[in-house]
Amino acid sequence: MPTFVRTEKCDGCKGQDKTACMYICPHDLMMLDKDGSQTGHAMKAWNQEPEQCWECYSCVKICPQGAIEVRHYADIVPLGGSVQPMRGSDSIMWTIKFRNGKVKRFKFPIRTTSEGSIDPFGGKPMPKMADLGAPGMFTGTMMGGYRAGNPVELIRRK
Amino acid sequence: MAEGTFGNPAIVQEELDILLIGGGMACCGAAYEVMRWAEAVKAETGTELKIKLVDKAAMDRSGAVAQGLSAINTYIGPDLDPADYTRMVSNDLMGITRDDLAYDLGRNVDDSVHLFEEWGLPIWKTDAQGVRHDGAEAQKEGIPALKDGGKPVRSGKWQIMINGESYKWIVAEAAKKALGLARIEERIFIVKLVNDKNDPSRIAGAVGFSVRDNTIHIYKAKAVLLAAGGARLVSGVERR
Repeated sequence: MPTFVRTEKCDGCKGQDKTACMYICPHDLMMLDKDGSQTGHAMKAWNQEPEQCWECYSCVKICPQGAIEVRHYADIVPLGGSVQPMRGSDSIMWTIKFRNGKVKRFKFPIRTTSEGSIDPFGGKPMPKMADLGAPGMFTGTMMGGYRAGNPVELIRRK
Repeated sequence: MAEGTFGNPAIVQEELDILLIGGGMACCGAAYEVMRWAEAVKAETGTELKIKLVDKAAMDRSGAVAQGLSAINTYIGPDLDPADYTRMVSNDLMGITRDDLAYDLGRNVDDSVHLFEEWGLPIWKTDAQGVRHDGAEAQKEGIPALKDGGKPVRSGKWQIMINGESYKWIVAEAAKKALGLARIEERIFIVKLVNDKNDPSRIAGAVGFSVRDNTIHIYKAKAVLLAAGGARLVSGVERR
């Protein structure tokens, strides 16, 4: 069973043209109902084709309001159970509710740098066109990951 | 949402030097590498290469690594040998391998892992007392990065453990920053490669459609990297 949007929490991503869930859904299922004609809730997101949803959680994780939840199939999450993540900037917390009322929480780190902080080529060498045919990557030896390999290990080489 | 009016699609045609088909790990890595070389070309000759990456969804959660991984399957490290890795691969695939390519991968894969760590992927580490720490703790404890001699936590001979929920997110960010958003087109589904009319053994481009607008996209390119993960039979092989 698919994702669904809690309309009381959804704010249509603050009235923008495209919501975060619309941006990320790999199957193009999340839509913004601008005038309310599709769902009766204007400026709220909704899952337009629940049977196609494969519950990847992309929309659940990206929603800034935490407004999207998943209604799982009964074989893995029986009625009364729920699996809900809350993704922060450096960690994610999963809240698992069992149907006997028990709640477990699991928190995992997800990133050691801040969002948007990657400087892809900062401090990296600029290669020369003449080296294009040479083996290896433009970073050369500076990332320290080149493993030359011991020639003695090449036991199948003729 | 549009009601069923269709009409003829708009056709958008573009000529490129390099077309990257797919927004997963492969094309993100290729984008990162190719853009630095493109900068070198610009610096040395003044030519600006036309490069585009095309993804049928959104790059942040694209590909097989979309929701993350708990481990990186191959990390050689300073103590193992890429030849040993090659033998493992050959054994695993019943000898139907290109050992030279597997060897080259073994020689260079650790570089990519070191980059991932630099970009923000939390990697589990073992400290000097042999105690294991998750990716965030390891940083707090001051255990050095893999590149600086930090010991990863292994699960089996080749695998290292990570906190990888955002693995793809992080790599996509690096690729997006390297490419710049103008070189990325998301929500375009490539369905067909096109042969060169004068030389049918060459690929001259690709055709696809937008999944959101009524538009067909035709890309002519001098070089094409097809890394769409076996999605939708473009490569002729379906991946399960």
